[in-house]
Amino acid sequence: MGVLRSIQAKKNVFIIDDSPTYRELLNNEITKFEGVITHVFSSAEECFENDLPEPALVILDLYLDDGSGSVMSGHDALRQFLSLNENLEIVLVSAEVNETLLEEYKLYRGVDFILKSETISGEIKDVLEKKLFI
Amino acid sequence: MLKNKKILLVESNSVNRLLISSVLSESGAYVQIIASEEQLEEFNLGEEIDIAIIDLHFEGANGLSILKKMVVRKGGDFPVFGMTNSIEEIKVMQPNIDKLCTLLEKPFSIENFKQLINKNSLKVGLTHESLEEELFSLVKIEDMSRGNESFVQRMIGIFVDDIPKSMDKILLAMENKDYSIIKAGIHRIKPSLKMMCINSIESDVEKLEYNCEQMVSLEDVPFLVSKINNVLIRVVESMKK
Repeated sequence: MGVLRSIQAKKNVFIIDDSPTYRELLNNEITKFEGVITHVFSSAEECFENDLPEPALVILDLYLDDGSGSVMSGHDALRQFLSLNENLEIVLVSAEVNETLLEEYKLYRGVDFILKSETISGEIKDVLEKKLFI
Repeated sequence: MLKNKKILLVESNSVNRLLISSVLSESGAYVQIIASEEQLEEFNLGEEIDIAIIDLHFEGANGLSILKKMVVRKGGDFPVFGMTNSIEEIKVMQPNIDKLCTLLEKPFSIENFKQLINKNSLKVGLTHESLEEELFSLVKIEDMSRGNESFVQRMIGIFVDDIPKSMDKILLAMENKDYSIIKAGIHRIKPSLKMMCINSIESDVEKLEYNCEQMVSLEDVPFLVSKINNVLIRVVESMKK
């Protein structure tokens, strides 16, 4: 019973990013937290195709587009996640975060942004502590 | 060893010039002397010479700029010696100078000079496009690693694996004039290039992304893709070493 409680206490964090560099970076940072299990995907499709436990937090690359028009964008993935659970905690990762972007996404309650840069380690730590209370 | 070698000596001080050229001539070398800015302007850098010795404090002109032109013209393997009154001082003023040339502190003996030629101690680690910058730096990755060497190695491994594949897609898209795919591809790798401090192509990457997104100056796209690709090939090769 103690073991089961321990397993249930672990929080699932999904990482969705088409850059292998940033998948590794984010996973490296997040797995340092106790009580967190990461599930890493290179596309939103790959994530939705898998039968996975409900995430406590989704870290989603905003720009998943490969230019072909056949890949689900970060924006569409966000809408799909929120349609499944409107209270889901989501962090959008982007190479550029500006006022226009923040304005565009302010309607999405609970959505935070972090920038793809050398400061991402500190930012992801802050976000995890805030969102997952760990 | 110096017998029949053509040595270019760029030195504005007459006493130094006499001393150095005499010593080199006694060893059997042919010495071509540049003593003034005028002579420097007349001299053709393409001319055949085996070794160049340049006074980094050359009067009236920047000895360092002459050195750089020589390296660019002759290539990274060409033996260039930079003469200075103090190696310590010049390294403070120009931290990367020993990557461009072998430093010689005046006065130097002919034996010392021969030993340096023997050692082939010329170190050139900079690209011709940007002599002031290194190809890449791991400083950001190392900072993030907090001492975890295996993390650094993993990041290098991912970069070395991913970038050539990404560039192949971009090159194919360029052939097909598929600008949305070029744009998406370059946008995707841009943060990784910044992470590895590949600064020499930063503006080219921004320009390529912008041009493909806005569909402007598309005639520049092949040049930009080619330039970025050439630098990244060298970066990956360097990382593999």
